[in-house]
Amino acid sequence: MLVSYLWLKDFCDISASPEEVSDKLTSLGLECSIIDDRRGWYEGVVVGKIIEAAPHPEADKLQVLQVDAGGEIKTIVCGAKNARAGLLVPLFPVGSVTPDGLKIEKRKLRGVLSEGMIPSEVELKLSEDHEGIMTLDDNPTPGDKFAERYEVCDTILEIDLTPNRGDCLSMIGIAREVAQGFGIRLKKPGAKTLGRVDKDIASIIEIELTAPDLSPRYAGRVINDVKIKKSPFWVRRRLQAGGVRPINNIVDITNYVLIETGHPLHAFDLDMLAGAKVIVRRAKDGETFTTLDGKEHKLTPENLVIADTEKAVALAGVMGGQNSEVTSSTENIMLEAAYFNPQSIRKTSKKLNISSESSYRFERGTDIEGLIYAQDRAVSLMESTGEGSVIDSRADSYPERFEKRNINLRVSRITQILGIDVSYDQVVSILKGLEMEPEKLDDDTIAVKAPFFRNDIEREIDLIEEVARCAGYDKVPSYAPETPVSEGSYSHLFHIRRLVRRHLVSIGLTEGMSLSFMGDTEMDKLQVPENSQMRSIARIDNPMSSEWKNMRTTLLPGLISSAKGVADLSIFETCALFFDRGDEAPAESWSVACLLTETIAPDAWSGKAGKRDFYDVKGVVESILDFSGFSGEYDFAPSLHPFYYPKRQADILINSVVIGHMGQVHPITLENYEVDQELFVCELNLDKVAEQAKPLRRHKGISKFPSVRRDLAVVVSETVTSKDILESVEKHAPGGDVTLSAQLFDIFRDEKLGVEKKSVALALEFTDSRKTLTDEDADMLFSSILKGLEKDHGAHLR
Amino acid sequence: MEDLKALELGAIEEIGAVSTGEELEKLRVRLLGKKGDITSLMKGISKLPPDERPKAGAEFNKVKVSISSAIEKKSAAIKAQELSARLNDEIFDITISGKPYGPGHFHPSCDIMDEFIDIFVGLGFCVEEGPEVETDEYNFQRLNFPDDHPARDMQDTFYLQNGKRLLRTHTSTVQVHTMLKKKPPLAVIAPGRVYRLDSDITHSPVFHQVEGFLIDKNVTFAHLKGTLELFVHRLYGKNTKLRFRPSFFPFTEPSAEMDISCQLCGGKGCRLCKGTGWIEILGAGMIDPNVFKAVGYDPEEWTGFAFGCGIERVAMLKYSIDDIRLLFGNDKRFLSQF
Repeated sequence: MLVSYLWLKDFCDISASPEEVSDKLTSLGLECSIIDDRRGWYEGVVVGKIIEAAPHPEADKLQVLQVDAGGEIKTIVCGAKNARAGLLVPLFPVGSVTPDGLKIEKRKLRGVLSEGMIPSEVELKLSEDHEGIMTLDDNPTPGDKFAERYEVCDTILEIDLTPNRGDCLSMIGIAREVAQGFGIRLKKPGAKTLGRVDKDIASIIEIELTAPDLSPRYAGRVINDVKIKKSPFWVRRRLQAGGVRPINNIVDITNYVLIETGHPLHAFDLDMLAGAKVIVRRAKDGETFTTLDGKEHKLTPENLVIADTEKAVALAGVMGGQNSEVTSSTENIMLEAAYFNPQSIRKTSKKLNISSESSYRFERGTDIEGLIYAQDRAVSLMESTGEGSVIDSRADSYPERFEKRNINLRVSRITQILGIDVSYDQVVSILKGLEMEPEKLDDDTIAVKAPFFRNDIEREIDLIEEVARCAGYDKVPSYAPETPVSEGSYSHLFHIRRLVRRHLVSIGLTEGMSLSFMGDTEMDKLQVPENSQMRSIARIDNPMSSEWKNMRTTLLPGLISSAKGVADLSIFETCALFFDRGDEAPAESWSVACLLTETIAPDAWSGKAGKRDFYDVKGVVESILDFSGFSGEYDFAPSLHPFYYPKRQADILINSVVIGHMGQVHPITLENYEVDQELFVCELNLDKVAEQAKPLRRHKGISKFPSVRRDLAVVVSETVTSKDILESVEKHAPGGDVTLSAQLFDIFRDEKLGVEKKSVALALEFTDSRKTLTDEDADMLFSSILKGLEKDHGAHLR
Repeated sequence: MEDLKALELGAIEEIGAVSTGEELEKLRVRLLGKKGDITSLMKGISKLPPDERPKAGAEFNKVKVSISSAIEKKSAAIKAQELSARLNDEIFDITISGKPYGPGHFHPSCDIMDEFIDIFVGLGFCVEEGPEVETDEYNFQRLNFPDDHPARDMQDTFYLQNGKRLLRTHTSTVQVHTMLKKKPPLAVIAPGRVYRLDSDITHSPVFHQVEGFLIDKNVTFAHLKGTLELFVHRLYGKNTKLRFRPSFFPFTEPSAEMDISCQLCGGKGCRLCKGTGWIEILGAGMIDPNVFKAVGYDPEEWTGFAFGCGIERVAMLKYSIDDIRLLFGNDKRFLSQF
């Protein structure tokens, strides 16, 4: 809502500056800022009268004007076609400065000295009208100061209105708040007409409401013999200030009153209405209608139309029709003022995708009683500017009178909600300032009638808010609450998520974040198989772009894309994923995914770039699970995800439940994402991790006796895995009082070892809980393990 | 014996004068060695009458001990001095970067969200979460957004399943879920991802909110102010001023927007605060009685406040980020700055 500060002065005697008004409105809940400040503009500009216009001796397109600037005659060279003798115009004399900062100087134009400049409205920044120089109406005297004679040095406030305050979509609504805020009186301009034509309206127009639920009141007035022309400057200026483009005197007045009172009005060309009848009805199914903007709409009975006996002439409350609009040849006007059901207007406006100044106000609720004032105000202005004859009577159909809402307000409840003490009298005074009607019920209770323009006031709590904002939020003290004892700070899943994030950052990964959406091609690019759960995609009905059509089922595409062209990256993301389940709500589960690039940037210490491999991402996975308390409880199993190298991938399991997967990204997937380096990734389902029972740990005694270490290097076939070897070692461990810890510390490959053979080195550490082991004891244990390995895997000592 | 006395005094003096380990060792050999001064003087004992010899022997030993203890002391002093000189004379560059041991970087939005949560958990609030896919009922109706009300325009919504479901537009949905699940008193902080159909340099279709609410008997607007004041003072310091302005949210009444004094100019007015001295930080209010009714709480018995804050906005203000898309871009060059 744009508010002209000078226009506001019509409604209350403001002594406060625009800045003070802005601050006051903000403190009342109408967030306000100054967007245009013209104080001090047009200094030096005077009214001039062109007394002579002669052709320029040297230039066809120029005229030499003699302008009376109030006793002084100036010679002005002017290029505007509309300049002629007799016109009253604004004049920039030598030495004045235009709003664009151009300083006017004496200047010879093709040999003739020009002593000033006559501007267009564009040059004065008063409108978009650059058809020649501005001409002044209202009969000023040459020499008058332009800035004083006309309302031009204005300040415009912009208010960011919340949707509950439809009443403030008007100058009077804003003025009411200003008056309340500064404790001054609100004055409403008069709405009386002068010349009266005593004629029965019923003989001209009859109103029929066939859907009173959608249109409980409709009033029409008629003006005859109007002359369509340009509106006077002051009307156009105020419309511009309110952000509305002037059209002609009749339409401009409806818009002027719309801004002033907040009530939308519509002017019909009366002669275009057939049958002397206005019928407010639901549209027929499939009925077509062309609105003012030339667009054709197909309607349904959900839409309300204004019609004559033959056709629809307006989309009620939203937009008028081409077939009845006011044109330059219009002579008689029917002026509509009506109340339409806000929900119905909103439905029509949404469905047909038309939003207008009218629909915007109707859907926020208008004043069913105030519409008469708005109509009369417009009629009186039309009379004074349009020179028409106003028919005295009004056609008004209002079958069921609205009752004002009655709300009981307890002063004690105000204290209970706000935590401040306000007096009964203070509350009554605030309510009166808002044009409410308070009446004492008992010592605590006030019966309040809310005015029709405050559709948002329905309940006691709404009144409490009014009291709070008018009293001032700064009057409410600050108290620390006595917080109830909570049953626990957060859920286990939340805890695990935080733990994992903090762990990953502490071991050197960076936390990333991306949108929860993905495009249609993502699954194919990643190479996700047809039967995968990742293909259970929840789709968005109204996506913003093709890249954001679906809810993510994996974090991998986002991470892989982020590695494109990045030399060294170790990044992770935690986020919820969504899996479609048909009619049910999509399943949501929390995921963490990590990505490591193969290359590592060189650091100051090693001086050379290193490389990461599969075992780096495996190490990350292991550290996540160890840190989350699952040390020793997880396992890795071969898997078949097509987006990984076939052999360099694994499913991750806790207690035999698959909780995620990891691997080296498949070369074709890399190509699909235009990534030209090897990537190692993992993705874990954190909901599943959080569901797994953590092992109950029991402490084992620490042996008092020293342990013995023996290194064992065996040659085995490549197909024998590290896990096979360690399991075999465990199987052949002595047991009893002796504990064995085995650690793989080297894998070595060499032609000499044989084809597809490798040497695996293990560190074996034996500890006896009852005695110190001798060398002989250790040798014996060592050889029994070696024998086991020989038997199980054909291993031999290297 | 006179000679012995003189020797001892001379030796102590000489030891005191020595300044290097080498000199000291030479002196030790000269004094205490097999051919040293003491040894040669001791030879004189045999010339004494037998009854005087033990006494003289004892005297000699005393001098020997005295001298060797002086040498040891001196030796320790020289070593300490030499060590100190060696360490102090060394040239060492402490400005070379440390060896890499992690850590990586927290995402700025997550970091701020953690900070918010920790402050409220510290105040006794507990964390609750809700689904991101919701129904109209939970996202709007139960939060007092009537059908076909312009308030719905405040939050443009993504729909799923032909309008049957939607992506939540705010974390206020967690209020409804928690109230249906639990009985008051409640003190809850609800962080999470939310979605709105909006995308430009200050709006992302996906962003984060932290919602908080407290419900008990006799909770007032003054408690809302007190709680948020505690929060802001922890986050931005005790000198930060707060301002509450009336506003409108369907699920709170009275509603407020909270501004804090601009962190950049301290409230004098600058480009960041557009000259006002204030920065809008969150929306809040007293929970609307209709929200309580929709979950079966009696609004005459229970009152409560709620507040909600957009995390990205706070992150952008804190780190002077002018394009919200940077926060969702997974760009290492951006993320490694935090």
